Amino acid sequence: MTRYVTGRILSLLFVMWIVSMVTFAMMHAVPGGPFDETKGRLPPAARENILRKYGLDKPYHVQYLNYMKNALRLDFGIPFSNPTATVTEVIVSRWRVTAQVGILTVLFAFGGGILMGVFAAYHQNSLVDNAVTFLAMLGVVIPSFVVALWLILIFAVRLDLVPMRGWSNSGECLIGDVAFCSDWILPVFAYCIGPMGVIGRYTRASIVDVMRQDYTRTARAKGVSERMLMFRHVLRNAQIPMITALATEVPNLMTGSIFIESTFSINGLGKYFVTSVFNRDYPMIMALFLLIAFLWSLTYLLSDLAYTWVDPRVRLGGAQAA
Amino acid sequence: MQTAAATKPRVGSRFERTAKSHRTLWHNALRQFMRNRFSVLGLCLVSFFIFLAVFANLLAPHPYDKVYFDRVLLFPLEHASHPLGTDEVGRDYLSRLLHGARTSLFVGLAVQAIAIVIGVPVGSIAGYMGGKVDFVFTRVVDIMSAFPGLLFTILIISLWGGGLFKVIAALSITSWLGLARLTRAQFLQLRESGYVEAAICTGTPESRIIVRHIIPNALTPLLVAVSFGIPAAMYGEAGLSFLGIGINDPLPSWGKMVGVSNAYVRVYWHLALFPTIAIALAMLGFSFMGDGLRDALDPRLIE
Repeated sequence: MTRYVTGRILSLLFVMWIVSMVTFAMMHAVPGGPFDETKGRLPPAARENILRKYGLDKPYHVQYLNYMKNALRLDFGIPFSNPTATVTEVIVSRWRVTAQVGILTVLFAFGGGILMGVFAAYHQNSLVDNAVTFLAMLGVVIPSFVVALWLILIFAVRLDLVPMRGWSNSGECLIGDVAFCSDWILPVFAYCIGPMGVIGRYTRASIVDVMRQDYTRTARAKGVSERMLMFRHVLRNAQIPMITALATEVPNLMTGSIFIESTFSINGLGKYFVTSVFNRDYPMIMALFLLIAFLWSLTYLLSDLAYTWVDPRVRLGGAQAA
Repeated sequence: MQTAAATKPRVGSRFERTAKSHRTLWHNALRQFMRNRFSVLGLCLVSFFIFLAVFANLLAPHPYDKVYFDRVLLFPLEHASHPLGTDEVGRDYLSRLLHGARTSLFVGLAVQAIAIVIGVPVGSIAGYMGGKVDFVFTRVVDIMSAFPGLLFTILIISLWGGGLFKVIAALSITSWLGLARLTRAQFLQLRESGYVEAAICTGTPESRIIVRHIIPNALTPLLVAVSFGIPAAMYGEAGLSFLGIGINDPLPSWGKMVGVSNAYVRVYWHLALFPTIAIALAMLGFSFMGDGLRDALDPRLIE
């Protein structure tokens, strides 16, 4: 087990290294540097000074080595577009907003999805089951920005119930006054419909599978109450596919959706990434890529470890196929 | 079935057997597909979508890039010759929607074609050769999957700039991974199957084993994957265009139309409504059809 985890962590580090190299190379392959825009106005001496200040006058491999040396000490540099703060500070402040949307979305997506899934599995092939399956499919298939615009058209324009866009809580405290204002409703609902559908489908499928097993029939035959049966026997065994869904959805939701953030004008991480790419803000792009790649790899590792915890039959390492 | 084939005369019977089993597989699949109401609905939607895309220039009442300066932002039916109104610079909205279908379909098909051309050979080689080749392949795919897909595509687009072919190329960079992984898994699985073993025992050359025994059997899962890959690529294009970094003007794209309409949504609701409905119907059609294909072609489900 220890050996397996060590191996996985080493491969995670290797992946991060490759990601950093490729991103760095791609960024610098982009024609035009971050200070080209002001080239006409800046005297050459001043431009040289700026380039020297940010270390952009050095050869690429030196720049990369410098960056990585600092990054290992968790110093990701200073964003070109906002030189009064560090990259870490900018990311943290943007991420607060994204995380608020993310936490609410995770809550609704998992709550709603699991409820829907359990209900649909319990009343199989009923009208409700079909409706849930269809809704889940709608949520999975239709892009979030399409759903977002429909919600805006219905609830903000037509009915005028909720604000159309904006996010009043700038992120000083994590949930804060979210409960008292209504501008979170549309973004969170537009965002959570897709994941809710995925989770609903997963839940339904895994519960249906467990309900077909012999031990469920045995439990029913020996007279376990339906509620007991559901919680003690079925849900417990149906956990594994749910953990898969949990593991793949959470990092996604917590890093935010570019589409939702740009539809609803929320100043979060995703929206900032697009701006950074177009400003050629090297330190920001690097840091965001490393952060998201790290989160992804880490959640995959953690979800694999969670399997062994939930289901002792799963053994990691050894004759692993992929 | 294998023992029966082994006792019969070799060459002719094997040929007959594969030919016959294929016919019944496709026959069963067709019956299964038609029995499912959703997949038939999906097929209808997709056919309709393809029809609109192919005949867009005949069906459209106006050229998609013709600007009527005196008819900016008309509502639907406000002017007799613009049934769905006009957009923010005075172009006929119906014509742009029809041509948007063409853009969308073109991107979907092109990206999947590239994914097949790259993914299937790479996956087959890794799966069949195994060993070091497979190890390198698995590492490369693992690393590429660790990249945040959408962010990576945006980075590439910022590198190359937008436009139809650049969008296709950018989406292709990550789209072949899934197909390659699937092909590899199929090869790994089929290489161990009884009939491949039997073919090896009877001295069938490797190339023939791959072409006659492995590829036909790996075909159906790949077909299903491609049927899901087309809407995924269309989704990708719509997303990039929505952010304003995909298809360039004047070429219409549903995603771009939605993105632009966001600014006008309070008053000019039609700008947002029509392209979103178009995207939703196309996506639903493709995934109903894909689900139907998967159910019809997955031999484990045919009883």
